Amino acid sequence: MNGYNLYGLKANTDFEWHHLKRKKSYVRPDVEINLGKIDPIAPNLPKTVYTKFHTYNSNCYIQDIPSIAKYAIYGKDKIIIEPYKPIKPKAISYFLQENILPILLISNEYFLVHASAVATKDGVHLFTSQRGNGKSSLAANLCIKHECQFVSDNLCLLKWDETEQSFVTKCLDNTCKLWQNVFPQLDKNIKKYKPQLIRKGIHKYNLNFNRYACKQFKKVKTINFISVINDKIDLSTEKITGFKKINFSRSVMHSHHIARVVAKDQHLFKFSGLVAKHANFYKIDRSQLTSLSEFSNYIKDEILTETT
Amino acid sequence: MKYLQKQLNQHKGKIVWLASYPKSGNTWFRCFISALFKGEIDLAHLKTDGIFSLRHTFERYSGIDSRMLNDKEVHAMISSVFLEHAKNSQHMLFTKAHDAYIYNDNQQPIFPTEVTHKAVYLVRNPLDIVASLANHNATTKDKAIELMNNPKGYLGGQVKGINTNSQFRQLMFDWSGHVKSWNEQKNIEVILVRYEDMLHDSFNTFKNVVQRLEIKASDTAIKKAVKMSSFKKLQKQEKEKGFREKNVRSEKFFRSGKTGQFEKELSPTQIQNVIDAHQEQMKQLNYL
Repeated sequence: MNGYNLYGLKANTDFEWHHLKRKKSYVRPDVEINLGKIDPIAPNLPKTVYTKFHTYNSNCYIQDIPSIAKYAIYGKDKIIIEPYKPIKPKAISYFLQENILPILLISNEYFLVHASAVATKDGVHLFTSQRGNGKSSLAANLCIKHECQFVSDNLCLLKWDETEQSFVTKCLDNTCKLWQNVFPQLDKNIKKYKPQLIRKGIHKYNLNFNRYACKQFKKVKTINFISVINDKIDLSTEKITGFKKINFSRSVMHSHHIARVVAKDQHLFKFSGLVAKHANFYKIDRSQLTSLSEFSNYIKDEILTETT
Repeated sequence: MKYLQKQLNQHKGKIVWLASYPKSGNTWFRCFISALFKGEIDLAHLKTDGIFSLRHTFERYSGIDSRMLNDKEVHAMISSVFLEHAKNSQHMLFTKAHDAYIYNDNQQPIFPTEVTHKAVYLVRNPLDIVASLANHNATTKDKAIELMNNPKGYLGGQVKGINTNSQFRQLMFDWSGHVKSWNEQKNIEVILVRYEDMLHDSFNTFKNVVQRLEIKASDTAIKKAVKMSSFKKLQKQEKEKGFREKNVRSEKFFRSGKTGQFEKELSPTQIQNVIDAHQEQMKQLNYL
């Protein structure tokens, strides 16, 4: 048995989890993650959703990734993984981390937002958008060129601080994982990066922020949704208010999708409301033709400076 | 217009694949479909139903970060993605594809047969494709010929294996291989449409396709849609408003639209290279 600390959850696994720091197994783990056989959910059950890739109800969530593995979450504390063929655990751990872990964390009332983030002296700024729109490279560039502290490149864990009456977050992983083509757009002196094998034949490169990572919990100051469009436009920022803000906060937590699964809709809705009430939301249009450097300057002037 | 939309709704859960080798009239045909069913063509928001190779559709239904998948894994899943997509749509979908008709490692076609209504396969004289493809890819005509003659040719290659383009890599084979893959498979019905016929006998060609798709449209509606989607009008709209499907490196998407231009645009050697590689298919399609 191996032990892992998953954003505060104590997990025991019967396999080695690729690129996570291994600890001794826990005596009283919060969650057990094992390889094994998954029994399919019976057909035509009430209050159960069946798609080609997911089957779920309030007790169980199964994700099928053909040719790789099936993953099942039972309640709050049990995950079973059934690989399609004899496969090295590290080949399945990426999807465990990206697709299954956020659902498990929400089941356990930890709240993940799909966003990169940086901190200034006034608080943390989150940048959320669809995959491939440059969240990680923006965070890296703001840290390298605009003296921000690094918080996250992909997922932010938010905690509600009763005393501060605010959401807080901090850096849980010092490394910013970037595609190789991003590096030439960053500082020319940044050359020391280490390739990390994500899956067979697919590499990302770690940029380690060590001393420049935000290790203390800080207030969440803004949540920024970056919308990438193809046309050549002037960059524009729009403050989001009202109900749109609540819907927006649910979508960045993927809770539209996940709420049905973990049957905590009411709780998630309250949480979304809290996020919406206590963070400033902005929608930022970025042209695909805008360079990373231009975009970072714009963010610094319009968001990081404006809101402080 | 409503009676046409109603027919699309009646066929909900089905997909029409608009398949072609690049620069063979696929976008033009999509403009016709948009004009017929919606009564408008806005190049910025073309009213057809997406592109087969778009990562966005794949990720929406699978919930998986597709950048982490290799081509084989994508091929193993993509037919299920479109089964879901069709199941969730309120009308019949028209979906563009430049991929060849291929099978995954489980010997399943990547285009799901169960939800396919029909495929419209648009074909164009490969000699006329050359200059158009070179313009689209912002490359030379020789490079375009190299791609068209490459049995392992693909579109949307990822630079240095970085898997981040908005579309997946699309295996096309060479031009002849692409034509054969769609027209020789027996799983789905294919309506073969020649670009040259769309240009020189527009009304009858489009009408024939509409009929074979089992859509009842009046001659007036078809004539109107043909007029709206004329090449000149599309060129004018691109000039005024731009077109997001244009390669950022190329000057324009709707270039000349004419046939037989190759005689002016290609050298005798280039013409011979294309003919030598594709003689058999060209003869079958009356291009030789």
